[in-house]
Amino acid sequence: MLELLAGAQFAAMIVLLIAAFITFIRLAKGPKLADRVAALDLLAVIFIGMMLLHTISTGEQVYLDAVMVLAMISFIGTIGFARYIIHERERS
Amino acid sequence: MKKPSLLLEMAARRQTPVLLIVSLWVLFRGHNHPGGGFIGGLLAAGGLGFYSLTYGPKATRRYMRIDPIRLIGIGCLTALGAGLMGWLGGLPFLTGIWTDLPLIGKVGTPLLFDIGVYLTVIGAAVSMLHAFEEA
Repeated sequence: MLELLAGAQFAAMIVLLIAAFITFIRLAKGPKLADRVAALDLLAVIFIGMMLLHTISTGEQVYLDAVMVLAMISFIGTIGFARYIIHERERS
Repeated sequence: MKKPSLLLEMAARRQTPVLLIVSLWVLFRGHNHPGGGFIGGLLAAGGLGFYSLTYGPKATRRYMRIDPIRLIGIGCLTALGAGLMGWLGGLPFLTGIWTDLPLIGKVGTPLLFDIGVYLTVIGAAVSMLHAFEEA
């Protein structure tokens, strides 16, 4: 039973790593600013998943607080970028 | 300023109090666990920043009921007072003095110092954000 859990954690971590890699490609290439902003938002979610996996594998409950705070905070940056994009569009 | 979208308006009105309460929780557990004045202040500033992204700096100042620049001074004076308490008692500056209060638990000058840092960080972060928004 424990081995199954460890294997599932390993597989999930690999899947998240692949997702983060693909998102980084979009972040670097992204033809427009909006694509890059969406990639950054997605990266925050992927990192939240990684931290949760780390919490499961180490049993440290401290990371759970960080996950909660990051989930509550991370979208504010996206809203700020969205406002910046709207401002730029109105100016031009 | 243009009217913000309805979703953002509703989210800001609910999310900002939640973030302020979480920041207070982080502040008060900070002595023995991860947390403390600086992180709590940043969290509260994040919530107030969300509010000011939605409703604008003027409405945020009305929401806070105090000028954020004034908060910097109040926080610095609170931290200084926490340091002076030990000094006035003949101990070195910034010595921690603890007392046991019924119902609340252990409180002391380190908590007062943390509250000072908390207020200073809120004031500094929110006033910087407002300076950016009004520019």
